[in-house]
Amino acid sequence: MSVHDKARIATAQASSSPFVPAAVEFQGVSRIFGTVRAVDDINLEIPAGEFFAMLGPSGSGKTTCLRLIAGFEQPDAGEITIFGEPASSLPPFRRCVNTVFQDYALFPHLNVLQNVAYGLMIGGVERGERERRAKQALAMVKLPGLEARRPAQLSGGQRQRVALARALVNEPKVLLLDEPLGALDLKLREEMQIELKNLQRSLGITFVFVTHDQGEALSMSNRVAIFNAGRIVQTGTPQEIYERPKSRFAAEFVGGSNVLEPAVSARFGGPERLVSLRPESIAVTPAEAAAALNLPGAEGRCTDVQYHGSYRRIFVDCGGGRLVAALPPSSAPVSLGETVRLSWSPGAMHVLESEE
Amino acid sequence: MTSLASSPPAPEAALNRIADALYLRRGLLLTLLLVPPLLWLGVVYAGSLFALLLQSFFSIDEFSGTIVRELTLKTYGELLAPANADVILRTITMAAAVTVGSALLGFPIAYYAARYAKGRMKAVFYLAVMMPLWSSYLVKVYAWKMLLAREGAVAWTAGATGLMPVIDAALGLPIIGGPSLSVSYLGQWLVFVYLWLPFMILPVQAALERVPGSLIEASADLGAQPRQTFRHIILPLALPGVAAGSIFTFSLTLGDYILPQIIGPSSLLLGQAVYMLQGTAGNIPLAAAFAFIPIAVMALYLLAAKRLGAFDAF
Repeated sequence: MSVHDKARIATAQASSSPFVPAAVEFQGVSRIFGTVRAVDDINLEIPAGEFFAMLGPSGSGKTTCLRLIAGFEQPDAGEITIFGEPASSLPPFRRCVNTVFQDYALFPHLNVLQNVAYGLMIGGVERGERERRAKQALAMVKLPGLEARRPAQLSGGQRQRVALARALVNEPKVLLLDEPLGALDLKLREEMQIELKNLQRSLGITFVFVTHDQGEALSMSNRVAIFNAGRIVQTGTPQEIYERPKSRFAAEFVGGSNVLEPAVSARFGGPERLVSLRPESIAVTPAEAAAALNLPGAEGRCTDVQYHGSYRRIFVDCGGGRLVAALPPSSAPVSLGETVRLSWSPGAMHVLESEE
Repeated sequence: MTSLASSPPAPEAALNRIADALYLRRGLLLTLLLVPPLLWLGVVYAGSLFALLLQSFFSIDEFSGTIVRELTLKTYGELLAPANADVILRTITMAAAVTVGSALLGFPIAYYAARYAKGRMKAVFYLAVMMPLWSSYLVKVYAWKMLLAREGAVAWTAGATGLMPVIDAALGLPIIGGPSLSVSYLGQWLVFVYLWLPFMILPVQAALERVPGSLIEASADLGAQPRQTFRHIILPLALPGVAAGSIFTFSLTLGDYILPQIIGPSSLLLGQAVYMLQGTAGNIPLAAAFAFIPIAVMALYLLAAKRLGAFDAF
């Protein structure tokens, strides 16, 4: 059974049984800043134990949603429940959730150990016990031996781990992560992605992860919600989101896609509907071969070639529209200005339900 | 040789050469910028301070009243005489009380300005805090004398609102009370706090402004109630600002010699003592020894603040 299947079963159980409440549930939640509907009538259910990603461009409302769960914002309409308990009127310090902040928000006047033990200290855990647990948490995030340092003496990656340990040491039921990897360099980011995923699996805590990086959302989470303009445009497993986007926005934001207008789609041999065609499902083929196999396709002139290492993107002007194809390194080189024949399997053309 | 830059007319070329030289030799620019203020600090300020302190190691001939220019600690011994020690103790107590009062009154205002005031409200805040500094010190002090007098506006308002018993009770207190606010330590403290409050508010506000809002959210997120967040996060991070502000309020009170002449009881504060000793009494050495007290007190105060970790936050 794959992780995705498990998540789906968990979802099904959560929604069918009133005795297993969802970790977080939004019912018609709105948050309005002046005239901006930052979060606009959102309904959402995050089952317990899930790694849930909120994905969207900046200003799409995903961070506001996270802040609503944490309690830093109060909804203007609707109700938020955390493990079945209405949370809308609870201040942050009465919620069983902890947050890893985008800027880490480490306390500059406290050392690493004091930072991690802060929640326990506030909770009245006596000194020896809280230091023991703080050290345990630091070991869990693989950061032993730096207990006496101040945050200012740490690197970005180390600060990130301290922030993670500081949240996890309180054993929250839900861990909220606000673009926690945004400030790290690529290699460190990939390392942390794996570690976060492993931590979530071994601890079994619900993770709610906000990101604008679609690769991160797809590779780490059980389910993804795509945000746009304060609304959720689609929720699903990474595979569903990528393979069966519902709208132009979802298709273009996640993975990048060629979106064909109905007329163009029909001309290229597809249905007369709005259609998404992933760049990597397009192949450059000799014209005769494609015709023989009766594949849909188009012919055009190559206007740009971008080298990306593991693949190449070629931009082809096909009269009615421009198509982007991602070609594996093994494919025959295409040069600028060359006329090429593009083809794809009929199944690669995915019909989109709407624009948004 | 070909030049990379096009050649401008002669005077401009000279200016350009100076600009280039200053840019390339940062040390030269720094020297040019620092020499005048360093001369000021070194010769005028530190020099006069040294001359003053030197005077404190001279003594005065009790019969002729002339200054004996021989190094001695005799004058410092005189500071310990009950009348002089009284002045020192009284002044330090008043300075401490003024500092505590300013901190307690100034902190909420600074907190509001740093965390909540935006745009126009922030401008109003700066205006309101700075406005008292625009009018003459002397005018303000005399205005307060009028306000605090037995027949003044404060007493009148208290009478009209039935609060007179409160003022009478305060004036009935030993030591700090008196026949009226304008001749009591209470009134003196009140006016000192009024005068030096801006010097407390501004550094505290600057310190609080450097505390990111996410730290306060993080503290709440980790389970801290507002008072715990204040105690464990906001206060320690604002402490350098409070320390800076208290340096102002403390030292300004230690040195003031005009306000206590106008408001408060007839007993002297340190500034008045110095003023009288170097003026009417002509005892420059004792005046200088007195003047050394605020320096010593401030040095000890800063040392204690540092020990307590007031400057650790950043």
